Formats: sequence, C-alpha cells, structure tokens
Amino acid sequence: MVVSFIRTFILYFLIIIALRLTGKRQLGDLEPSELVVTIMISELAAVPMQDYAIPILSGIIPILTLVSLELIISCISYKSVKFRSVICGRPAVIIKDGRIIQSEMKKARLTLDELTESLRQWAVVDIKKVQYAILETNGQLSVIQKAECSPPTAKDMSVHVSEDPIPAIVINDGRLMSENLDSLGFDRSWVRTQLKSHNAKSVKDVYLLSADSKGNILFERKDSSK
Amino acid sequence: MKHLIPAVAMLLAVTFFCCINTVCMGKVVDNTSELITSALELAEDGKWNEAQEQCSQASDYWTSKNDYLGTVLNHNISDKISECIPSLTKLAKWQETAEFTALATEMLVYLEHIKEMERPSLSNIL
Repeated sequence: MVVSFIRTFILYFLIIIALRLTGKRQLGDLEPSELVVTIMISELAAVPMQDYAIPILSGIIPILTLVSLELIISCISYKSVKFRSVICGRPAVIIKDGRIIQSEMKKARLTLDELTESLRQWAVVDIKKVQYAILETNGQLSVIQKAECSPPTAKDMSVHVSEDPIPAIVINDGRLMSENLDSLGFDRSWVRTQLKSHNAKSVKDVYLLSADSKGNILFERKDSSK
Repeated sequence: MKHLIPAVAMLLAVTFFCCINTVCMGKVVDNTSELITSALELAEDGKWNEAQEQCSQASDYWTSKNDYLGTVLNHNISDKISECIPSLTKLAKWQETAEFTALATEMLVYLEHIKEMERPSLSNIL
C-alpha cells in the first residue's frame, strides 16, 4: 500500500509537470493530437500506479518521450505553416454567405444534424443569417453572423463608451499581492487607507480586495473576521 | 525555441538511457548465464562442489543487481530468477543431476528471453 501511495505521489507530480510543459489550453480547445497525448499520459501513469510488478520507469519513460515529442512537434508547427497544416489540418469553411458548402461538409464528414446542433449552440437557428461558419482544426465550429443580424456595437450606434480597465487583485485571501499593487501604481499606504475605510484591522482580515487603474474597488472581508 | 532545445535534450536523454539500459541488461544477463552455464558444465563433469559454488556466485551476483533490476525489469521476471537460483544451488548440493540440468537449462532460456525482450528488434516493436 505504501508503495502504491509513493508511486501515485511521484506520478501525480510528473503528470502535472508534463501537462504544464505541454501548454495552457482547455480540454475543448486541444488539437486532436494534443488530446490524444493528454489521454495517453494519464493512461500511462495509471499502469505502474496499480501494478507493483511494473517498474515505475515503465510509466515515466513513455511519458517523458510523449512530452518531448509533443513539444518538438508544437515548436516546429509554430515555425512552419506547412508542417502545421499536415499535423493539424486546415480550417474549413462550411457555410459562406448563408449557403452550405456541401463539398466541405462531405470532406469533413459532418452531417447536417451535427451542423445544426453546433449552430444552435451559437444561438443561430437560421442558416441564412450566417456569414461564415468555419470548422476549426480542433473540431469546433466558429460562427460569424451577417452584420445585419449581429447585435449593434456602441460604435454602430455612435455611443461613446470608455474602456473598462482590468481589475487586479491586491489582497487575495489575506495575502497582499505586491506585484499587482505595483502594477496599479498604488503603494502600501493606499492599502492601509482602504483597510481603514472598510474597518479592517489588517490584510489578514480581508478575503478580497481588487482595484483597477480608475480606482474602482471591490472589497470583501473574511467571514471569520466579521 | 525556448521549449525546443530542452525537449530535444529530454528526448536524447531518454533515448540514451534506453540504449544504456539495453547494454547493461545484456551484461547482467550474460554474466549470470555464464555462471549458470559454468555450473552446468561442472555438474556434467561430476564436480558438484564447484557447481554449487558457481550457483552461489550466480545468486550473489543476481542479488547484487536487484536494485537496478527492480527499476527496469518487471518484478515478476526478476523474482522468478531470484527464486530459481537458490533452488539450483540446492539441487547442486543434493547432486540431483536430471533436475539440476533441467532447471539450469530452463533458466538459461529464460535469461536469454529477458535479454531478447530488451532488444529493439522488429518482432518486439510490432
């Protein structure tokens, strides 16, 4: 049992490092090859976790090999468009100007049911309103509606709106995020002022303090300090 | 480029490690086989004390490589050899010719199989 525990411990951190190395993408956005590699890594790690007779290296070596190959392939894909099209394929335009391109549907082996299902997920029920529907290399459908069917923007309506800055978290669960504080151009005396104005004794009493460059504040005390 | 060089380095390191392992495994198996073959020959000549000594040496040698073998070989396989060698030593001690020869031959075939398993041959890959 102890062996199983230690192996699981080692392999867990190996998987975390492996997945961290292979990049930051959500599961649904992975290319098919990346998805296969991710699944394979988890399957390979599971084998020596369960069977003590199999040496742990039998899991580690294939995982390291897969990660290396994945990194090499992705680096080459980044540099070479041709290579990328071989590995990942090319996006295919399925709908253009409200008309379905049947040859692309056939090439992608995409059925009408699947197409209409994907369109509904984009809240589109009328194909005629679609300017472009593109089947991406990760299998997802991107839909761009015709301008006349799209919601108007502030610019279309000649309405002036100011840009909303992105707020940064200054205090995260009782911890002061100095880097974020500096990026906002504030200092610790500003933090002390905020604490005083919200009747908080210290940083440790604060669950969340976020601010943006315009000075908009979001303040939440910890439940335990109320 | 930031990830390419470490990735290539990691792949080369893994390849190198696997090649080294194939060579090392071959050496361990060859040395063990040599000792057992020598014991077999001595037993055939009726030199049972020397045969027993060779079997003990084979056992000590295999045991000394346990840490390495446990890391790279399926434990069931290495355990089988670990169990058979003491049996071989006992058979040499009791001078059981037929059983000794049979077990020694079986072990030599098994050791050759272990070595063959690590070889990157077409039949292994496919």
